[in-house]
Formats: sequence, C-alpha cells, structure tokens
Amino acid sequence: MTILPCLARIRCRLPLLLAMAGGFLLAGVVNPARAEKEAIPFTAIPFSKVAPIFEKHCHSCHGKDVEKPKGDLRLDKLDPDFLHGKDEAKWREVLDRLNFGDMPPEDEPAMAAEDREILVAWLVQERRRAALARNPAAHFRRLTRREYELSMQELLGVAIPFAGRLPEDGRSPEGFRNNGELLRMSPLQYEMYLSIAEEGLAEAIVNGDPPEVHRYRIARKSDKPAELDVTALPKPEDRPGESFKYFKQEGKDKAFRIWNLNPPSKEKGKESPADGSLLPSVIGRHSEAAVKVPQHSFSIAFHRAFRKGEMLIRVRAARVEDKKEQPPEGEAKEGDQAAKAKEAKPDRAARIPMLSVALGCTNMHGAELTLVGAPLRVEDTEYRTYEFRVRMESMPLPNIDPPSDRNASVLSAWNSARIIKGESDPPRLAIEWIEVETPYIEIWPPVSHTAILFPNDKNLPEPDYAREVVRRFATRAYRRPLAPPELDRLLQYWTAAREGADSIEASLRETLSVVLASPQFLSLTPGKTGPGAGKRLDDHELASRLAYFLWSSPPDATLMELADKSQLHEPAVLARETRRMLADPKAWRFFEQFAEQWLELDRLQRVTVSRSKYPEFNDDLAASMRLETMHFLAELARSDESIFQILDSDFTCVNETLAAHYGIAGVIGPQFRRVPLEASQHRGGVLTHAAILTGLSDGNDGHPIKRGMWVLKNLLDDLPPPPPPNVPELKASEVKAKGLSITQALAMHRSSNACNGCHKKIDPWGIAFEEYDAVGNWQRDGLGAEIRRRRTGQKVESAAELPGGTKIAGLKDLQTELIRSRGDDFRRTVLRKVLSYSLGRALTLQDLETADALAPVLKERGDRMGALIELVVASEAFQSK
Amino acid sequence: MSQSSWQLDRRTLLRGAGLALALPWLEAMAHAAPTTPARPKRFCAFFFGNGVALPDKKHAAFQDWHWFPHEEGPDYKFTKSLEPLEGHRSDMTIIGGMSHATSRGLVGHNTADIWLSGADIRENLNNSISIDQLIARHVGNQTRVPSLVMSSSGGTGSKSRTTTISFDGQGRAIPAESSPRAIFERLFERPSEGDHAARKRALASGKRRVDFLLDDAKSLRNRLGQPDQQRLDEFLQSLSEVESRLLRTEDWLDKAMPEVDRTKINLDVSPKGPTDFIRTMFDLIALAFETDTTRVATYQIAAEDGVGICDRFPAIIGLGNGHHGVSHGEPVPWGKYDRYLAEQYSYFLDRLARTNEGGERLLDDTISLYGSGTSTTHNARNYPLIVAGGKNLGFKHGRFIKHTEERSMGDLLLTMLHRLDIPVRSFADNASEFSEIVG
Repeated sequence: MTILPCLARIRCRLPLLLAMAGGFLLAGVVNPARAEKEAIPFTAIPFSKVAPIFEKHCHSCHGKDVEKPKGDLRLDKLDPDFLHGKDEAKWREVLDRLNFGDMPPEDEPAMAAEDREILVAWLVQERRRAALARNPAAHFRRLTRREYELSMQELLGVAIPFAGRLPEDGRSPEGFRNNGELLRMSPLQYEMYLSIAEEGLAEAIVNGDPPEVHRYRIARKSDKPAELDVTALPKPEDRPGESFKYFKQEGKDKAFRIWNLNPPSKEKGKESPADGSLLPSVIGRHSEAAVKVPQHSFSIAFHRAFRKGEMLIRVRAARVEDKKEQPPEGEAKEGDQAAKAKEAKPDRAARIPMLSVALGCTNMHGAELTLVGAPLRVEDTEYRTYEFRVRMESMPLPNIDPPSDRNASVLSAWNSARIIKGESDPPRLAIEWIEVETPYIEIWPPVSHTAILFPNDKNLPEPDYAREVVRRFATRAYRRPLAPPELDRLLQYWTAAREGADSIEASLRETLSVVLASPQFLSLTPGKTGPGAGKRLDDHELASRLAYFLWSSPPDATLMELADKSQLHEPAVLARETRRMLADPKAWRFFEQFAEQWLELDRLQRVTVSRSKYPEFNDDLAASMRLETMHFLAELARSDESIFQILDSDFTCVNETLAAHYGIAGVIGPQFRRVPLEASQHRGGVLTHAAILTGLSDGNDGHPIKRGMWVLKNLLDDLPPPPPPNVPELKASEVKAKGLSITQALAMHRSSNACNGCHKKIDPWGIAFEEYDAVGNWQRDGLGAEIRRRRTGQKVESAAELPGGTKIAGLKDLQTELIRSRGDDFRRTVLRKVLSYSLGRALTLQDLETADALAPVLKERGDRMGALIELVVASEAFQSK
Repeated sequence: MSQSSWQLDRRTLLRGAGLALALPWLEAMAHAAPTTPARPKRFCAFFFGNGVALPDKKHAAFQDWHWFPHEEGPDYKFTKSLEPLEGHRSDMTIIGGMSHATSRGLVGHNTADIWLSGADIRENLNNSISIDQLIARHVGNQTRVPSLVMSSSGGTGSKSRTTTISFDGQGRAIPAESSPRAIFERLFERPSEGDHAARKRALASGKRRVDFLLDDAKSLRNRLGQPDQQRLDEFLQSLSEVESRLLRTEDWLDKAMPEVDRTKINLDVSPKGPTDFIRTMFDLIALAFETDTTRVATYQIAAEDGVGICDRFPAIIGLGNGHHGVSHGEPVPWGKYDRYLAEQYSYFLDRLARTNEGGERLLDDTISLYGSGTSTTHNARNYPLIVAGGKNLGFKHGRFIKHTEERSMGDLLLTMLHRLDIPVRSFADNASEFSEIVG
C-alpha cells in the first residue's frame, strides 16, 4: 500500500483553489454591486488581515528590527502582489514552512491554529490568483490529434487513422488536451503533417486504372476441420478491379500461404464442440507484447500483408440451436461470475451468439488483434452472410514483407457472447466460410476522388477547373471563404506544380497538400484582432469554434451556409444549431473526450489491477467501465436532465459485461443502454462508476487519498496545494507491521503536522469511498463483502467527518452532502470545465467571471445539461476573440 | 539559383517577426558541406524516472540492493543493483551527491524536464535548452541527422512529466521518437527508390511547399493579436527549421547512405516487450554513431511518475507493479528493477566497447551519461549518475565519486561540453568544472 504517491502526481502548476478564491477574484474585476448580487459565499482574505499575524509571529526573526534576519528572509519586505512582485517563490517557501509546522520554531510562542489556517488560505488564494492572471487569453491553437484526424477524414473522405504517428498532445493541469498552451509545434511534427497530407491525398485522389483485387473464400474442410479450403473468387459484375489473376495454394506459383491458425482443440478441458460450433470466447492476454486468438475461433493466417485500402470481410454464420434440456440449477461449479450472474438472474433464453471479427498479425509471442467494427448478433439459425468493412491502415500489420509464420497476417472470427463460467448451455455459433475482398472498391474512381475532383461536365479549361477545385477544397479546409488574393496565390502555386507534374491529378494533389499543411488548416485562428476589428468572432469563426467544441471536426454544410448568410450568430439560430449538433451522433466525440479528460478516466489504464485479487477483471470489463461514464454524460444530454445527476442518479448506462459486474439483471449484448437503479444496488452518479473507483485505486484496494483529491479537484474545483518538498513517507511496512486499516493509517498520517493541514481537507472525502473496492464492487455486504473477506480481514471503515463538521457514514451520505451543501460549487465547477474545454484554454480571470456568472442562470433553468451547453455557447467568452 | 534570395527573405521575415532564432547557426547548418572532421566526438544520455532503491542502513536489503556502492573511491564493490556493469568498471564512474541546485526543493517528479537542461523551474515550467541540443547546434551540421531524440513512450508528454529529455533553444520539449522501425528507416533508408533527379525534383517541390507555407504563416501572423502571434511563431520557427533541413538534405543528396545490415538489428519489437525494445533502441544509437549518421542522442528509458507505457515495464518483467508503484514499495523489487536497467545499459556499453573505429573503441570517443533525476522517489537530490566512455576526451574512470555536500550537476554537464569542444562559459546552474572526472 502506498499512501502518498498521489501527492507527487499533482502537477507543479496547479489550478489552485478556485472555489476559495472565487469571490475575491470577482471582486477584483467586476463592479462590487454585481459581485454582491451574485452572493458568492466565499470571502476573500485581504492582506490587511494576514499582515498583523505575520508581524506578531514572524517579524521578531524576519522583520525590520533584526540585524541579521534568519535565513536572510525579511517577511516585511516581501511583495504581497504575487503577480507583479518578485517574491512568489519566497512566499511558496513560507507556505511550505507553515504547512510543515516548523515555523514558528518551537522555542518561539506558538501560533494559534486559526491564525495558521488564515495564513495558509491567504497564500493559496494569492497563488491561485496569480496563476489565473498569467493564463494567456490566446485563441490561436493547433488542432489536437483527434481534431486533425477527423478533419482530414472529412475533407478527404477516407477513414484513415491520419494522426497515428503524430505525438500525443499534452494535457493541461485541468486535464484537457485541447488547451492551446500545450498544443505545440516542432519541426519534426511539421514534417509529419507535410507527409501525412501527401499520403492522404494519394489515397483520396487516384490516377489510372483500379488496382488488382484479391477475392478469396476460405472454409474449413468438413471432413478435416484442421485444414482449409481456399477458393479464388471471380470478379463480380458490378465491381471494378480485376481479380488477382491466379491463385494456387501450393507449389511454386502459389500466391501466398493461407493456413488455419487455430485448428479445433482436442486438449482435455478445452475441447471444441464436436459439431465444429464455436463456444463464447475472448481474446486472451499474453504476458508479453501479444494476445492469444480466442480459444474457440475460426482464425486464418496468411503470408500477405494488405497494408492499404479497404477490406470487405463476409462471414457466413448461423446460431446453433441447443436441443439439450437445461440441467437443474446449481449443478455447475460456480465462480464469482456465475454467482453474480445468478444474483442478477439473467434471461437465459435471450442469450444469443455474437459474431466478432478481428484483424492483425502474429508476432514472436502470439498475436496482435484489433476488432473490426462492432460485434453482430447472430439470431438466425439459418446461415446468413454478415459483412464487415475496415481500412487496413488502422489494423495491426506484419512488420515484414513477405510475412513469415511468426509475423503473418491474421483474420479471426469468433463468438464473443459473454462467457459465464459454469453455464451449461452457452450460446453457440457456426461459421461456414469467410470471404475477404481487398482492396474493396465500390466504384472507380472512388467517391473521395470525385468529391474533390468533381466531374468537369462543363469542360472548363484546365486552369479554370483547377481554380474551382482548389477554391472548393480550401474553403472547406480553412472553414471560411477565401479572399481572391489567397486563391490567386494558391493558383500560382498550382501553375508551378503543373509544370513538373505528369497529370492534372498530380499537380492538384501537390497544391492541395499545401492547403492541408497550412497553419490555417492545422490551427483554429481567431481572425483579425486589435483596433478596427471587432471583439466578436465572425460567423465563420463561430461556426468553427462550435463545431470543434461539440464535434471535434469542421463545420458541416448547414453551419457553413448559416455562416455564409451571417445568420449563425443570431441567438435563436445559434441555440437551435447547438441543439441540432448535440442531437447529432457526432456529439458523442464531445462526451467521450470531455468525460475522459474532465473525470480522468484514463487513470483506469494506468492502474495495474491485481489479477489474483480480482480474477473477474479483464480488458473487456475495463473498456466497458470507461464507456459507462461517457454514455452516462451523453444520456444526460440526450434526455436533457440535471447535471446534479452526475453526483447521484437513479439510472446508469451499462452493457452486458458491466451489468454482470454490477449485478444488474436483464442486460444482454455489448451495446450500452440506460437502466434504472435501485437503492439496493448501491450505484448512482459518477462517484459510484467502476471506472472512477478503479482508476482511483492502487489495483489492490481503494485509494482514499486519490479518491478524495479527485472529488475536490474535479467536482468542487477546490484542490489543495502540492505537498511541501521531501515530505516524509508513510511507510507501507510500518502500516503493515501495526496491522492498521487504511483509515487508521490515514489518521496516523494526519498526525504529522506537515500533512495534516491539507490532508484533513482531503481524506474525509476519500474515506467515504471505502465502501467500494479496487474494481468498484460494493463491499459492505453481499458478494463484494465475500471478495473482501478473501483479501483482508479488516472491516470496512467509511465513516468520516467532513471539513465543516458534517458526519457521514459512507458514500451515500457524501453524495447527499455534496448536493446539499456544495451544490453551488459543483455547478460552478461544471460550468468552468465546460467553458475551458469549449475555448481550448485555461480560464483567464475574465473567463472565470463569465463561467461563474452563468451559474445562477443555469440554476434557474433547472441545471439541465442542454441548458448548460447552450449557456456556454451563448456566452460572451465563447463568441469573442 | 535563386536560393540565396529567398533565404534572405527568410531572414528578413524572422527578424521582422522578432524571433530569437540563432540565425548564424541555421546558416552554418544550411551551408556546411559534409566534410570529414577529425575524430568524431559523441554524446549520449539515458534517463529513467523515479530514482533508485536506496534502502535504509537498518533495512535487510541495505547491503545488497543499495544502488550506490558502500565504499568510495577506486575500490568500491558493486551491489546487486549495479553488478551487471562490473565488466565496465574501468570505463565508468559512479557519481553520488550531485543535483541541479534550483530543483532540489521541488517534488522530484519534475526532473525529466530539467535533467539535461538544469533550468530553474521553481517559478514556472519554462525550460531551457538541453545539453544534447546545445551540442547538436554546434556539431549537428556535420552529420546527416543533427541529433536523435528517443523515449520509450514517445512524444513530449506534458510539462513537469515529459516523455522526452531534450529541449530546444526556446526550452520547448522536442517530441521523442519511440518507434524503432521508423527511426531506423529515417536514419538508414533512402527516402525513395527514385533516381537522383527524382529526389532533386522532390526536394525542389518540398522547398516550394515550405516557401509557400512560410509566406502563408507570415500573412496569417499579421492578422493575429499578440498572445496568438507567439503561438503562431512556433509554426514559423518549425517551418524554417524544416526548410533548413531540406537544404541540408540537398547537401547530403550526393553523399552515399551508410551501409547498414538490416538483419543485424531486431526491429520487430514493442515496448510491451521491454528487454528487446530497450536493446533495439540502444542498437539504433550505436548504429547511428558507428555510421556517423549523428553524434548526439538521448533516450528516456522510463519517464517519471507512472507516465506512459514505460511505467508498465517492471510489471511486464514480473516485478508485480508499475514503475511508480515499485518505487513506492519495498526495496527488493525496486532494486531488481535497477539491476534490470543496469543490465540493459551494460548491453549498450558492451556494444560501444566492441565497436572499433580506426583502431580505437567507439566507447572512448563517446561520452555516455546514465541515471535519474531523483535519488529515491520525490527526492531531487543525490542523483544516481554514471558517466561512461570518453577516454579519448580525457575522462578518467574506475571510481565511485561521492559528494556529501550536494554538488551542481551543471558542473558535470559543463565539463562534458568543454570536452566536446563546445565553447560555452557556463551551463545550467554550474559554479565550476567537475575536474575530478577528467584528471
């Protein structure tokens, strides 16, 4: 157990206590009458209040009357203006000393605890204010990797993972990846943009005849299931591209080797059903850089790497009906999974096989596999053909060419219905054959080509045609109409490129690649500022900001049209468009990223969950956990419910995997859906989401400090300062030797002066979470309690006293208390987070004012999620440069 | 050729934009013909985060798993933590009690940022140039590639938890490369199979493109307010560097690529299999040095504070926890990870020691710095450091040099710079030379 590492995780440049400083900040920039009206419940601490305390306790050693001040520090000379003065570092030292408790020294009169608290609060408040004031009000920012990829895909009309080799974007202290301050540019990165643009255009805009196409059908030989029947298929009438001319599996003309990677197993305990049907299976984990193909699967390996273009995979499959009688209950040996499933009483008749397909390659240790699309339900007992399509660029491919057995291409198809241990009649899937066609070309030239190089029906002369192609493309890329001189320059460029190019296509590819590497495409630019230019975004800039906020991609035709007509800024139009965008499936990108970055869902990936303590934990469950919180926020928006549901809710969003983990009955299949919650399930609100609870654990047990810090930082915007340097460690060995529970260990930790100042504000919030274990199981009673008994003999201790004196027994009380007494803080926090994400920057003092001023309005509008987004979009900050 | 005129344009533009760009240096890089200098001198640095196991005297593991030896001077004995380096005793020096002065009070997780720069980040996280980039500025034009910047996680990471240890002249993190295959291809494979003329054409079109984009950025700049201009300037600076790289490529165009036997390197690796991965990264540096493709390389083996895929290395090799977790746990698994890393580093030193270059060992012309920016987790003092190689540059080895009073790491870095003939008066927060290691 490690108690302290969370402290070290705190970034150096912290967002300091927003909530604490809130009122003070407002007073500084808004007229006092308005600040008063908004009734901010926090009073700022003026310097005049702390100065006498410093004088009383410190000046005898660090004051003007001392000949040689101790440590060469004169407190009376320090500039209380952290922002403009030069003494912020020295004030930090003062803060650390106070937190440490070693000043004033023991032989001097002791400082009253209240005095110490006031000093600390003032120091924290001033640091926060200085940090906020330093945040630049810049709007120019590079697109994030995600935004760049989506923009490229929309512009070029090909679903290639363009951002794959770009470096990861930095994360702001608030957690957001779209903060312009961290979206850097380097020569290496610019070179990548240049080459990605070229390669992307080469895929989108084609020359000449369609390429040869591989078309094969692969079936298991019914008499020898370990062997394969491979047939080359003729070119279908309706599709371009000659079929690969010859095919021979063996001999010197052989096209390439194809073999059965996963012949039916005869190994005892792992036998494949005699009829060749597939039992539910999962991709297994391998210790090294590899996975194992699912135990029961139809897996093909081949000596050919299809690296580019689309692949069409057709699977002939059927559900295998079970004719056996169900055995009596309880006959099978039951693990935790089965027990939970029983607790959840699943509808056994509804169990349907799921067809999953993955592509990848073998490697030295096993395989690398990536799912192709979503699994499909196979309900029909008659054979039917199920189709999957995928761009090969997004699949793991063999490194070498031609591939070898150790590094070959893999296609795997299996039954991905959830495995329930001890289930006597699992759903079964039969696969008759698999067909692959690659590259899959529907028409030639492809749609991506004709969308950019539109058919020249009017027989425009080449330069006029080029001008129109470039104009249309650049208008979409720059997300605004081009001024004539801009277009002229691009045309000059095209003229020069045309001289050296073999075809008009090549010259246009070269010209458009410049557009795709222009800062005007790669970044969001706020347009002209300064005297003469307005503060407001023009309609096209507004369209971009809105589109990247909610869709992470460029404005669509509707938005562009409204911008062209200068109507988008009209409040009614803007509100209507915002609602339309939120209802669009593309809005998922906002919920996905905002949820992940705000609530730090990525922590889940960084925790190594103990497989021995939590055997039911696996990659599939982890992935489902992460999605729950995203779907939950999206659902709140979809049904336009109160943001307070985030703190506690009577529903959540689960799929079969997660429902089984939570013990919720009747949820079948991998897709997420809304389910009502009962009190006995001990779920509701993101605090009970398994992603949060697991991400804030150490993999063995819950981690109260992480959990407490998380509440303060993300829900209340109230993060304590970082720990003083070289803080003493709480020794895990000592804790173990004394047989302390986590709660007791924390109490011991707080007995140190250096720690108590902050930890008394952190720990109580986290202790309430002790009712949930390291993977989010409720562990007070029921199955979770059993799992806990196996792990530790200690009782669950979740009672705590919150700062302010409220006593709580557990998480439910904590949720109630958050809503009751910290509701205003929470509302403000959510507004700040959404505004910060929407602007792509750390909030400035003025932004903060904007966000906080929206709080009463949001409250009036029932704190609805839709209102929240609309208010942010309607705010001056959102619409200003 | 109209080359000189548009170069002038660039310069005028940059001056107009008020950029603090070292133009004489760019110019030097753009025009330096590939020449054959005297013996090449190389520099490489290897960083791992979270410090090392230093169990307390009373702890049972103290004797065996204390990273620093228990004896000072030439007669020290390796503990189990560094034992794999035993064979390199006469080629290396272990240094204790060294740190960057301004960072000693900070939470040590910041130190990947400043390990090679020594920047004062107490007030904000503005970094300064790292030693490798300073060296590359001076010698980068003499090789095809000015410097290699690599890490196991790749990219830059966020400030204070960077996944790179190299920073440019403006103190900006340089994204580290993490794909051995991509690095290999960039270093040793021809960019295209086309003939010479086609490459010239490609280069011309590349220059036309960058030229256009620089103008584009410039006109955009005029439309922006001040804070926005500063951000666009990164685009401008990046583009002018891309441009100077193109010019350099032009210079190198007629020079043959080094012959590298692809079968001698295992590119079929992933950080999920750390041993092979780390060794291949080392191989790439060794290959780049052997072929004189570059003379400067950094590799962040493991980031600070549980950041990135490298945090999982100890878990993958069976030590039961992530790197950050291990560094907060018991000394023995932690020490075992120290030993694991020492084994990998020993592999690299072996390789440099085996490589012969004109009768000299490559190792003797190479300064290799290895270590962390914290002694134990969070404690940014007493960095565990090993300097190896560079005998031909005057480095004297075979000892454990222990300072009981903290000594500035800037001293060590400055001494390295001087031995590499980099004419600077000071670096980082140094006060003097670290003469112990060179005399």
